[in-house]
Amino acid sequence: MNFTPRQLDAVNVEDRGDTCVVAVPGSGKTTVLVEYYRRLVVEKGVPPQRILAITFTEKAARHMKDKLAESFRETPELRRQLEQAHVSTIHGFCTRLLRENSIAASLDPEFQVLDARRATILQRQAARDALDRMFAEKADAMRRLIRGLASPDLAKEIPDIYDAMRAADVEPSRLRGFRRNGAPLAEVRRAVAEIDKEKTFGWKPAQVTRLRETLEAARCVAELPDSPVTDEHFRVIGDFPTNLKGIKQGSESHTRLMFIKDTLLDEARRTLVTEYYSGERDTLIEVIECFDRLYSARKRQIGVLDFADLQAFAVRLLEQDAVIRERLRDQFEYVLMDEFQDTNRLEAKLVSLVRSAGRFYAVGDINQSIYGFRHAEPEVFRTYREEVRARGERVVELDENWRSRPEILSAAEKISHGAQGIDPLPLIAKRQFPLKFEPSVEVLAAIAGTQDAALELEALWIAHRIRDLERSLQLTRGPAQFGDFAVLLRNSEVVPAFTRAFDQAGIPYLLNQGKGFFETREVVDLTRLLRAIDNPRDEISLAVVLRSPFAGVSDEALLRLKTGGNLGSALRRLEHTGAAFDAEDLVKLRHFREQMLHWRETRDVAGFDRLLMRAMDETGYTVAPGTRAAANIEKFLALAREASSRLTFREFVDELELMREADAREPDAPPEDAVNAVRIMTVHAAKGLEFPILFLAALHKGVAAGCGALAFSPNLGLGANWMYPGTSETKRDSFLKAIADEVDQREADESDRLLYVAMTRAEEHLVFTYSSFGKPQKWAAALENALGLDLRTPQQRVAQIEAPDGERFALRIFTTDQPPQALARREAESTKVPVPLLDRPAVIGQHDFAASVTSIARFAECPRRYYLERYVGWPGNAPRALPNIDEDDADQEISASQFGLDVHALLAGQTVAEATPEARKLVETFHSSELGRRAARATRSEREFDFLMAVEDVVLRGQIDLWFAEAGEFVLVDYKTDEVKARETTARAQIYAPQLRLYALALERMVGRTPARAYVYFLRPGVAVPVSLERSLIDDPEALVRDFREAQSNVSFPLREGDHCTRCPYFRGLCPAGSGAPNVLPAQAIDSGDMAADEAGIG
Amino acid sequence: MQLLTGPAGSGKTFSALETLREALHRGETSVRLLVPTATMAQHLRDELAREGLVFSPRSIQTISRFIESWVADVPEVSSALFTVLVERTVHRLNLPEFQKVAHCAGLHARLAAVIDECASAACDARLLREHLTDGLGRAVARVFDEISGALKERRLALRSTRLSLAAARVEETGLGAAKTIWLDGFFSLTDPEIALVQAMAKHADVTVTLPTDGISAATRARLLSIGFKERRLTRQRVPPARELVVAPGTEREVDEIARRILEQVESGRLFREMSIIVRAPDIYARLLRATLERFGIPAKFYFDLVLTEQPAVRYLTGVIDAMLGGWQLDETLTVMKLAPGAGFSLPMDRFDFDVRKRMPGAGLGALRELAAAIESADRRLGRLLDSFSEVDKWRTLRWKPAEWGAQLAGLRALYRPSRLRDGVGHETVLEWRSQAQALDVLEKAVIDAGQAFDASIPLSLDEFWPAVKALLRLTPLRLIDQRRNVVHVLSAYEARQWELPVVFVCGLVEGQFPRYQAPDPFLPQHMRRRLKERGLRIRTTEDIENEERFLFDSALHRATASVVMSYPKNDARAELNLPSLFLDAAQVPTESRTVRVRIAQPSAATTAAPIRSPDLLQILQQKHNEMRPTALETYFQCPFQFFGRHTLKLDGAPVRPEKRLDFRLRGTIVHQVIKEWLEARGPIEPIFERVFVEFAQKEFVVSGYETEFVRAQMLDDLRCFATAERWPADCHSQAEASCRFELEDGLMIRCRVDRLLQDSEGRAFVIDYKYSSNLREYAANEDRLQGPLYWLAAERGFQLSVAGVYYCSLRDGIRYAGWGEKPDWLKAKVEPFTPDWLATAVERSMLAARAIAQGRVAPEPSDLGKCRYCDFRDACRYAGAEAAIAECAE
Ligand code: SF4
Repeated sequence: MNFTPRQLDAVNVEDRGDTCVVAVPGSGKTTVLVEYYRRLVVEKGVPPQRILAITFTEKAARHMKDKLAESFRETPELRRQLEQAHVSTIHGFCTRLLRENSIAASLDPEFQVLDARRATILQRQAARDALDRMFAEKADAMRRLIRGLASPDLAKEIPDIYDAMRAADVEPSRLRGFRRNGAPLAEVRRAVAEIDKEKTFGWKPAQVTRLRETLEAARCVAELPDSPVTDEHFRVIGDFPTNLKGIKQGSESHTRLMFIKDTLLDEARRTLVTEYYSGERDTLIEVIECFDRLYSARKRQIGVLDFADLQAFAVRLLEQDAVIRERLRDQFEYVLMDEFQDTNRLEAKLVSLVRSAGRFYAVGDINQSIYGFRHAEPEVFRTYREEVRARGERVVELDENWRSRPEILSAAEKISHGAQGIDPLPLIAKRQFPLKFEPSVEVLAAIAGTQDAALELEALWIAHRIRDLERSLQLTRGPAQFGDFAVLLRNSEVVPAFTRAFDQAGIPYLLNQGKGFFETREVVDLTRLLRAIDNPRDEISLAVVLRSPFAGVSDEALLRLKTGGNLGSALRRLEHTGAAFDAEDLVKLRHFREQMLHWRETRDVAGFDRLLMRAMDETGYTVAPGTRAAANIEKFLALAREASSRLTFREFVDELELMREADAREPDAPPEDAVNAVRIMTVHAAKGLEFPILFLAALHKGVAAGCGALAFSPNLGLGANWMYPGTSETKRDSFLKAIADEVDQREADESDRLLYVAMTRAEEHLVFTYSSFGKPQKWAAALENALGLDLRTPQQRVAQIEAPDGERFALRIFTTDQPPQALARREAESTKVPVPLLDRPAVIGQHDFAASVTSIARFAECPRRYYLERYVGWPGNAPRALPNIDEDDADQEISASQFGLDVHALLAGQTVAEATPEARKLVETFHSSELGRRAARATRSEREFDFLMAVEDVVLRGQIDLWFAEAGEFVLVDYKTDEVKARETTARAQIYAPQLRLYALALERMVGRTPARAYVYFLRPGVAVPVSLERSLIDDPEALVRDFREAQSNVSFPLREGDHCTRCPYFRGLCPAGSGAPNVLPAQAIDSGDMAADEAGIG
Repeated sequence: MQLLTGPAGSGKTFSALETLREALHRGETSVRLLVPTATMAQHLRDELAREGLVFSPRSIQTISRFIESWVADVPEVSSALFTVLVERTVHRLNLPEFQKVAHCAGLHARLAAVIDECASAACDARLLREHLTDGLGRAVARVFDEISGALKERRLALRSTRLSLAAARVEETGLGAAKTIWLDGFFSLTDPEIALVQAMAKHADVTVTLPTDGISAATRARLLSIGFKERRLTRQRVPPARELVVAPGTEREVDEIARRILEQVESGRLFREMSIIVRAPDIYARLLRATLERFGIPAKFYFDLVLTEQPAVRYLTGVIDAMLGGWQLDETLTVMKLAPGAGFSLPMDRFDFDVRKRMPGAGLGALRELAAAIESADRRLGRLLDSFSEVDKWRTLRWKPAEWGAQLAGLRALYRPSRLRDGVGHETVLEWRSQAQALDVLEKAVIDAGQAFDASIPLSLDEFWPAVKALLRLTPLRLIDQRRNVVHVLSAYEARQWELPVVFVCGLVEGQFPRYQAPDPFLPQHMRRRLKERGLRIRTTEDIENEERFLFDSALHRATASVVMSYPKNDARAELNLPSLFLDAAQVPTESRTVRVRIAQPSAATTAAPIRSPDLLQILQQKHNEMRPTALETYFQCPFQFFGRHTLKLDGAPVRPEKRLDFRLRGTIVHQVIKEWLEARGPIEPIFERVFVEFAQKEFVVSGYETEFVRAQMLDDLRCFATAERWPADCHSQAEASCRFELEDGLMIRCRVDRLLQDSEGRAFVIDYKYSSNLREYAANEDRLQGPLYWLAAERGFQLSVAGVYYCSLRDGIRYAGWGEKPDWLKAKVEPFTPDWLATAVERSMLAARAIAQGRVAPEPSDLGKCRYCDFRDACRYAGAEAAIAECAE
C-alpha cells in the first residue's frame, strides 16, 4: 500500500504522545487505523493483547479485525494472538471487562446482555409500575403532578429521559442538584423603580393616567413576594396590560414598560412557573428515582444488563477500584479509538479511565458527527484535539479524499462553506477518474402548487432520471446499473412517493427503512398464526390466518363460519355449523382445522421455531428465497427459537404483542443477496457507505425534532412543560427553555453535518433533488443560497459554479413543473437462478440400534404395553422404582423392584446387607430345590451372566440369571419373583419363553452349542417350568427381533388384548384397551361436552 | 505400563479394540477398555457386537462406571446438587466478598466449577489458600473448605475424590477379574485419574493412549515419570477429501449441510454414516434440529435438552410457583394453559379469555367462579382447579426435607398426558419421551433437593422450593434416542472416538471454533499461570487453545471419506464473521447453494372476491337493512372494515388491563355523564365520579397512574363542557334520543342523537358530541354522514323542523361546527344548509347500502392514513395499507 505523506505521518509509531487524527470523508481512515495497529505490533513489538482498539459499530470492529487477520496471515503466532485481542465496540470491551471482574463489579458472573427489544419492554413495564407505585403511595402529590404537567405520558417519556441521563453519567438523585438562577421579579422591581423617576412633563393627561394605571399594574407585580409562589402571582401578572396603547410613544417609560411586558414578564412567568411547580418537579424526580430502582432490581433479578449498564458499570468499577484500573492501564499500552466524535460523555469518561498518558490514538471528524440523538457529544473530540495540539503532540489532518470526483467535492465544499456546524477543512480530491463530459453534479427541482403535488413530480423525475442514466452513464467500472444508484433521504415519510414512482417505472429497489419489522406482511402472518394457535377465539387473528396462505379460504367462508358463532369454535365444529360451504373452502377448512389441532397440541413442546416451520411447510406458506421477506421470516424464526428457551407459548405471544407495540423501530432484515437494485435509505443509515451514483432527494423535507414536553440535558438537568396556572395554556419551565435552546442549536449544527455526510457518500455522480412549492425549505434553501440560484421557475441549463478554493465545476440544472413522459414500463429483469427444490428422502431403519432382551420379551407379550412402558417411557398406574436415567443404561430393566433386585443379587452369591427375611427365604427355596441342587453340583456354572449380542442389526443386551453344564449339556435358568399360584405357572412361563430363547441364542453364540434345556423358576411357589427351545416358525427369535424392529421403525404398536391386560398398569389408563377405540384422537375425546355452551352467531 | 501415542487417526482406538477383540475370540474376559463418555462406550460396544461377538458390556466402560464397585458407598454428587450446596454454603457463610452477589445463580455455578477444577488438580482448600492470598481467593478457599465438610457429612463425593478413593482401594484390594486395561479416547488425565491408573498398573497390564498434540503433553510427562513406556504410532490413514464451504449466514450454512446430506443419501449413503460436529451448540443445536427436520433428515442430537424448558416441568413447577405466589390470575392462567390437553379444550379457550378480561387479581376462588360459568360436561377445568386446591394445602405445612421430597415426587401425577397413540412420527415420539424423561428427572431432583438441607429440621415449602428449582435449572436432560439410521449430531468432545465416512464440521468462525472462553472472575489468567507454575494442573488460556486445536484436528479426522468444513459469512445480526483461525487462509471456500425443500402445495391468500352466494347475500341484506350512520361511515372508509366490524363482528383477544380504559370506553363514559348532567344539571363532578366508578367496575379498569391521568383529563373536559354550556334555558333539551326512519327503498336508519334541542319557536337543533379534539375530521370530511342523517332523523324520526346540526368536540376545549343556522352566541364554523347536501348524503348512503347488499366487501380504504387504527389491518391484506402502516412506524 502506498501511503501519502499525511497518512505516513498518521501511521508512524514513534512515541509522540497522544495522537488526534482528523479524517475527512473518504480519507481512508480505517486503512490508517489498521496500519497503525499493524505497525505497533510488527515494528514496535507490542503484543496484540496490549492494544485496545475501539470502534463505533460492530461492523467496523469486525471489518478491522478481518483486515488485521489478513495482514497477519503470514505470521500464525500473531494471527493466533489476535484471537484474544481487544478489537471491539465499546460495549464489547465493557462486557469483557465486567465478566473478568464481575465480583468486584457486584455482578452475576454469568450476566446476560439484554437486547434492545427486551430492554424497551422491560423499561416500559418498569415505568408503568413505578408510576403506579408512586400513585399508590403518594396519591395527592401524583395528582398534582398529573394536573401540573402539560403532557403527562410519563410511561413513555421516562425511559427516554433515563437513557439520556445514563449516557451522560448522571444519576437520578443528581437531578435535584441542577439549579436555574434568575430572579426576574427583582429585575421587574428595578425596572419599575426606574420608571418612577421619569418626569411626565409634556404628556397629555390621558397619557399620564394610562401610565399611572400601567405603572400600578407593574408595581403590583413588583410587590409580589419572591416566594412562595402562589396563584396570586399569576393572576397579578395576568392583569398586566397586554398592550401599552395610550402611553406616550417614544418616552423612556414606554420603552421600559415595553421591555417589562415583552421580556421581563415573560421571563418572570417562566421562573415563577418553575418555582410554582418545584414540588411537582420533586415528585417527578422521585418517580424517576423509583423507576431507576425498579428497573435495576428487575434486571438484577433476572441477571441481565442493558447496553447502557455495560458502560455505567464499567465506569463505576474503574472509578472505584484503583487496583483494577491500574492493572488495566498496565495491560493496554495503546488505546486506539475510531469515530471519536460520536462518543458520549460516559464513554469519554470510560476511555479516560483506561488510557494512560501519551498512548491514546483517536480518529474522528467533527463534521461527521450526526448522532446527537444518541447523546453523542462532538465537543469531546474538539476538546481532545485542542489539548493535543496545545501539548504539541500529534494532530494529523487527513484531508485527502480517495472516494469522489473533484466536482462532487467542490459542490460539497461550496454548499457547506460557512455553515455553522461545519469546521472548515478542505477536501482534496485524490482519486483518479476517467474523463467525463457531462456534469457530475446536478440539481433537479419539481415545481408545483402544493408540497404533495411537487413531491409526486419530484419522484417521477427521479425515476425518469435513473432510467436515463442507467446503462448510459459511464462509470469507472462500466455503464451504470441499478445497483450503482442510491437515493438518500432525510425523512422516510416521503418513501411511499418514491416507491410508487419506481414501481411505475419498473425500477427495482431495495428499501432499507430500518424499521417496521413487526408490521411486515410475513411477520404479521406468523404472529397472527401464533395468536390463533394460542386461542382461536381471537377471531381477528383467526380471520387473518384464514385469509392468509396458511388457509386461503374465501370471505364467503368466513361469513358462513360466523353464522355458527365464534369463528374459532365454529371452525372446531365445522360439521355441526350446518353451513353449506363451497367445496373448495370446505376442503381447506377441514384441512386447516386438523393442522390447527396438531399445532395446538405441540405448541409448547416442539420449540416455537419448529412449530412455525412445520406450519409453513405443511400449508405451503412460502416467499421467494433471497428476498427481504425471506430474511424477515428467518429473523422471526430466530426470535422464536430464542424465545422457546425462556417462555411458554402464551408468554411468547404476549411478548410479541408488546414488541409490536413498543418497537416500531425494529429494523427489518437485510436480504441476503446483493441484488441489482436501487438502494433507498436514510442518510443516517448511509453513514460509512459509498455509492457510485447518489440522489440526495426531498431536500425540502426536514425532520420534526426539537425537545418534547420533558427533556434532559447533562448541562442543564431536567426540564418540563407545565400548565400555566389559571389557564389552559402551557409554559416551559426555565430548565426546558434552556434545554430547548441548546437542542435547537445542536440540531441546526447537526443538520449541516448531515448534509455534508450525505453529499460525501457520492463517488461519481451526485444529483440533488427537491420539491419546490413557494419559498425553498430546509436543505433546499441552503443549497439555493450557497449556489446563488433561484430555481422557482422552470429552467434547464448548465451553470458554472465557483468553489471556495477557486475551482469551478459544472452544475446541470433542471427544474420543471411538468411531469415526465410516461416511461414504458420495463419489467425488472430477473437475474436470479431458480432455486432447486429438494424432496424429502425416504426414511428407513428408524428402529433402535440396541434393546434389552426383556424389552423384546415385553414386546412379544404386548406391543402396546412395550410402547408405552419402554419406547415412550410413560409410567402407568403401578408403583415403580425410579428408572436409571444414565444413558449407559438407557434400556435396562426399569420396573424391577428393589425386592426383585435383592433376590437376584442373593442368588448370584452377592452379599446384600439389607435383604429382607422374605428374600432370603425365596433364595433358600431355590437352593434346596431339585434344580438348585443340580446347579450346585454342576461342573461349570455362571450366574448373572451379562452379554451383548447383535441380532438382526439390533444389539441385544441381557442377563442370564444362571446357566450350568451338566453331563456335557447346558441348562439355562431364569428366576421370577412373580406373585403366581403354582397352577398358573405353566401358562405364565409361556410369556417368558421368548426371553429364554434369546438367552439360549446368546449362549449358543458364546459357547458354540445350543443349551439342551431351559427353565423358568418361579420362586414364590417354588416351581420350575421347563421351556421349549425348539425353533418354530412363530417362535424364531430372529423373527421376533425383526417384528420388533419393524414396529419401531413404523411406530406401529398394536394392542394385544387378553387376560394379561388386567395386570397391565396401562389398562384403563393410557391404553385404550377395553374402550373399543384403539387410537382415539385426544381432540375428540375432549371435545365431547364442549358443544353445549357457545354463543350465538350472526343473525 | 504402555503409553501409546499418535496423532488423530493413527489407529489408537483401533489398537485398543483389536486387543479386546482378540481376547474375546480367545474366550478371555479379562480385558477392559475404559473411555471418557458413556456414549463412546456404547458406540464402541455396538461396533464390536455387530461384528458378531458376544461379550459382557462391562468390557467397555467409562472410568466412573468401572470404579463403581470400589466406591459404591460414596456416591458421586451430581454437579447440580453440588452447585446447590455451594449456594447454600455461600448464604450461610455470608462472606463480605460475596455479599452483593450472593443471590446470583452465576456466582454459585462459577464457584462450583472452580472448586471442582481445583479438586481435579489435587488442589484442596488449604493449598488454594496458600497460593491465593487476596480477599477473593481466601473467600473461595473458605467456601471450598465448608463444602468439603458438607459433602462428607452427606457421604457424597466429587468425581475427583471418588477417583482418589478408588485408587487407594484398588491398590489395596486389586482389580478382580480384570487383567488388561486400556484407557482410550482421553487427551489428558487429571491427577486423581493418573493416581487410579498408577494403582491399576500394580495389578494389571495398563495401556493408555494419548494424542501427540500439545494438549496431552502434561499427562504424557506424568505417565512417563511413573514408569510408562511410550510407543508411537505414525499416521496411517489416508486423509479424507476436504472441502470448505461458506454460506451467507448460519441458516444457509445449515441448509447447505442438509442439502449435501440429501445428496449423499441419493447416492446410497445411509444417514448413520454421516455426522455433524458442532462446537457451538448454543448457536447450532436448535437450528440444526429444526432444519434437519424440515428437510426430512432423521438425526440424533448428542446434546442435553434444558429440563426447565420442558412443558411438563414448566407446568409442574409453575403450579407450585403460582401457589406460592398466591395464585395470581395471570401466572395461574399461564400454567393452566400448559396442562396436557389444554390446547384442545374449547372450555379452556373461553376460560382463558374470561380470566384475561378480569386480570389482575388472585385466588383460586376467583378462578373457580369463572370456571363454573363455563363448565362443560366433563368438568375438566373444575378438576384441574381441584388438583390445585390439593397442592394449595402444602402452603402452610412444615415438613422435613425428606418428607417434602417424597411429597413433591408425587407431583408428576398432576401431569397426565392425553392418550399416547401410535402411528405418529418419530419426532412426536421423541417429544413425548422427553416429557416422560423430564418428569423422571424432576422426581429425582425433588428427592435430591432434600440433601441440600439439614435432614432433621422441618421447613416450609417456601424454603424448600428454591433448592428444587435450582436443581432443576442445573440438571440437564439427555433425551434417549437410539434410532439406528440417523445422522449423528455430535459435540467435538463426543466425536473423538467416532469414525464415519462423511463428517460436517460447522461454525468455523472466530469465537465459536476455537470457542471463546468466558473469563473466570475467581481465577483470572494471571492467577492460573501462577498456580500452574507451582505445579498445579490448572488450565490456562494456552491449555484451552491447545485443546481447541486438538478438538479441531480430531474433528477433521473423524471422516474416512469426506469432511466438509463450513462457516457463515455473517452472523445473526448480519455482521461479518471472521473465519476461524484454524482454517487454512489459503483454502478458497466453495459458496453454498440456496435450496428449498419441496413443501405442500402452496395455497394462495384470499383474493378479494365479493360475496356471491344468494343465501349469504340474503343474510347480508337482512342484517344490514337497518343501519347506524356510523356503520355507513365505516363502509365509506373501507368496505372490508365494515365487513369485519359490522357483518362478522370479529372479536379480538381481550386487551391488557392497562388498555381497558380505551377511547371507546372514555367516549361512552363522557356521553353518559353528559346525558345525566343535561337531565339533572348542577355540578358535573359528582355525576362524573359516580359514572366513572360504575363503568370502571363493570369493565375492570385498573386503578393507577394511567387511569388517574385519563380520569383527570376527562373531568377537565367535562367541567369545561359544563362551563361552556350556553344553549338557552328555554330550549327543550333531550339527551340520547333514539329513533328509526326509512331513508329510501326500505333502508332503515337507526340513530341515537346525543342531544336534541327545540327552541321556543319549535325549531330543532341536533348536537353530536365527540370525545375528540379533531373537529375537522368530522365536519370537513365528506365521508361523514352523521350530520345529514341526523338532520333527517330529526325531520323524519322526530317530525321536527330542523334549524341546525352540529358536531361538538369535547377534548381540549369545546368547539362546534355544523350546518344550518348559527345562533349568535355560538362560536362555530357553520355551513349553510342546502338541500343538495342532504340529497348527496342520501344518495351516497343508498349507494353504500346497495354495494353491501351486493356483497362488495373487498378492502378499499378511502383514507390510507386511517388504516393504521383499523382493527382489521392485518386481515385485509391490502397492500397500500401495509405500506402506510409501515410508514407510520417511524
Ligand atoms: S386497514 Fe385499511 S384497507 Fe385494511 S380493512 Fe382497515 S381500512 Fe380497510
